[in-house]
Amino acid sequence: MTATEAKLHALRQRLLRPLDAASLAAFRIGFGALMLVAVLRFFAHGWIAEYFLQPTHFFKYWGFEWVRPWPGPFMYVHFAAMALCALGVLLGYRYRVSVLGFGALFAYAHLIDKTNYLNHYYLVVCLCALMALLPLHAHWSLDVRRRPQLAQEQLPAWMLWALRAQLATVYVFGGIAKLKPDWLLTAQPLSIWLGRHADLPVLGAVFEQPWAAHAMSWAGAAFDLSIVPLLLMRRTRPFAYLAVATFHLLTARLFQLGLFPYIMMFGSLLFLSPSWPRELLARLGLKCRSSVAPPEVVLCTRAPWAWPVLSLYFALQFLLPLRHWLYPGNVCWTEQGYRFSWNVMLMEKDGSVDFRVVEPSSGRTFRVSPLDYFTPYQTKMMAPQPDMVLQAAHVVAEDFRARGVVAPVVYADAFASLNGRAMQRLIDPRADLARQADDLSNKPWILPMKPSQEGQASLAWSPE
Amino acid sequence: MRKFLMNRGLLAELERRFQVQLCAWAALCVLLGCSPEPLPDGERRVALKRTTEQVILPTYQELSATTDELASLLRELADSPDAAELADVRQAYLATRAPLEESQAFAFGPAEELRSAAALDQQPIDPAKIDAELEGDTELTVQYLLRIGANKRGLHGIEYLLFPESDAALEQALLDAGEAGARRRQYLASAAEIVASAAAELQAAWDTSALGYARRFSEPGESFSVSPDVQTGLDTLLNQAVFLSEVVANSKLGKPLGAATGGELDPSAQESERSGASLTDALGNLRGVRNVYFGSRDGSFGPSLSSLVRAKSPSADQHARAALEAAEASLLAVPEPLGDALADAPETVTAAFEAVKTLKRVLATEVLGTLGASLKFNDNDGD
Repeated sequence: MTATEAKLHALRQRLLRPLDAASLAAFRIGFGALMLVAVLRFFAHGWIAEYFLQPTHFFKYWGFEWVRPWPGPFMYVHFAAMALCALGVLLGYRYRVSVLGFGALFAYAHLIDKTNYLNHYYLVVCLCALMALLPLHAHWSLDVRRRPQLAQEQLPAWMLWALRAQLATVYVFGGIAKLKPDWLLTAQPLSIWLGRHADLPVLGAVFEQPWAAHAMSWAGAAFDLSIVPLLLMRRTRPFAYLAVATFHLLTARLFQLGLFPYIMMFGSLLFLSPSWPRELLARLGLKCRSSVAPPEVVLCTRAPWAWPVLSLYFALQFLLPLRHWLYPGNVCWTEQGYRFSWNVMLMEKDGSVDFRVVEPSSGRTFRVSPLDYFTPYQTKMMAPQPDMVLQAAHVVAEDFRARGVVAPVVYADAFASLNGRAMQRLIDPRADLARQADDLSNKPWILPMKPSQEGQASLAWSPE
Repeated sequence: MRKFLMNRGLLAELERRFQVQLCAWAALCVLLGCSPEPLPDGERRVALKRTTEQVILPTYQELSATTDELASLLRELADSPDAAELADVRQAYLATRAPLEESQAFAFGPAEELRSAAALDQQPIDPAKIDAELEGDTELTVQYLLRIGANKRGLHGIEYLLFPESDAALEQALLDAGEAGARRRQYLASAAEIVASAAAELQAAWDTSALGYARRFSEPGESFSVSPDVQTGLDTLLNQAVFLSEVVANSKLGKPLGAATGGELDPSAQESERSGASLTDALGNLRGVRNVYFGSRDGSFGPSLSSLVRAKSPSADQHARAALEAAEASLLAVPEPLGDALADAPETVTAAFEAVKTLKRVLATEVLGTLGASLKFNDNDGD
């Protein structure tokens, strides 16, 4: 056996080493509970009607144009089914069906409209995909009660590491994404956002200080980049987890982040000892069977496909956040390769867009507001995102074709302001968007971001 | 024994770490769990209060006073038509437009809850149905008019009856000694009373007492407040300003200009075609936006959205001021009335349309971006 083979063998042994299943079971329970809350919030806030029923047009994901909201009340049924699946995950009842069902329903709902993209929604789908591969119902579940033969007090280490790796990608790529001049040199967008909280007790006075945004920007980047190794090292783990809790509670308090901080806080518990739930229960005086297994026991995965599937999955997880390098320009401005890349809290970007439709046969120009087609929320989200402006232009073009205008030409007067810069044109006003393809290739009609002081040039449209 | 001591040491270390964590968590919970304490001297808080006291309350007072005056004159007209000065009545009607349109810059809270827009200024109205009511025989009391639907009354309903094709037609119709004239005058008096009541109700809702909306809005973070923090209140003002700019550009100028119909002029799409006050209406809206931005109605400078923007980005504030001035100037450059301008000087209307669009863009991008007040039409969250 060569040295490399020996190392691979040792790695394999380590990954197959049995570990207490308690932390994985606790993760399943916590994840199910958080998802249940997430779904119930959609009912409570009226978001199902607002995001899926009221809009008449939707911004499609490339390759998922076929995904549409269900008619009538069936979106409510869809979310109710999602809630049941989340409950199934929580209780470990028909776990595989529940987690697959939840993941599929959740993904479907959020693939309907690009407007609703959130990094943590993507994370939820990723976690569901991974969880569907793992028998997280092998412990503390109703499935074990129903079918005791499913019970396993230990699971191979690779299962824990797969979920840890998923969470690590969020932190690491989130940290890499912060290594940008805006974040590090001008402390944007934190300079803007922290100023909004000047009336917080104690912290408000700190946020007003000019150095505070810089300190928090650097601390945030350092946190993202270092937290995974710090959580993995036994000596630093308690303090690292304290930092995780502090960081996420603070961001939850300061910014509108929904359940994201709680998912990360809860998920990061996976980096603690696999037996932490038992230790906690013991500390609380609750009896709990301890999981003791001879360390030399190697569990068989009984799933030969797991390795190639996981390798491919994590290769994608690694490559997707880097794909923006394939496109020219600042990714925050062009947003080419921005989604699915853990670009979390990187920008305060505001936009405004109107369309001009020209009828070639008559030369007549129609000024079109996106509000004629999209809800105010969709319009707000679309305005600073070039690929969504393109899709909106296609919707407008289609409408004009239906109204009898032959080969309408659609121009966009799209302006945006990124991280406190002066507003400037985002899209070439001479580009006929009706004829631009909506695909993954580079979009040359996105204007490059100019230095701030040039932003005010040519604000108003003129026919010339 | 050694193992036991080691375990004891480990246990002590774990306990110490646990205690440190516990203390840190407790401190964090106290820090984060507290609701924002009002800071009496915070510029944002002062800006919000100043805008409420110097813009919102006086505007609603003026609206209430002018609609009262109109109601009073129309009641006098109904009671003693011989002594009436129709020019004064018309002037009283026009005097209501400026505060009404300015108040659109803060048409949230009570304005939404009370559905004031419908009661005060429903647009469009249904002239045929108004005529049918006049020709009917039901007594045109306030109670009856309240029941028949907002598109048959409001200020535009009054405008329809006060500003017919010609002055002669007005006199003939309104001062008619017969039943038709009496019904018309009664209709106007009742409609004006409803408008005045709605304006008074709106003003009362913005009462400065503990339960009034003025305090609930301008003192965020309290148990009675509508906003959890100052910034949410400022965001509301700013987002309404953006929305109103869009309305002025697209509806009040763009529609008559035929912007969305390939340039087919549509004078009937004006807001106040009969009274010729369409430009005044649009100007009132812009002045409302300006007043909110500067936190005052007289242009005096103090803590306001403008000062807050300037503190973060002098250039963004400068651009907003320039855009406001340009939009107002371009509207003033359109010859009154808008209907004639559309025919004789459409380029001035186009210029005003573009200037208001630019104002909307500056507000929606630079100003919102500077204050981190990204348009929030709902409470979805995340990143």
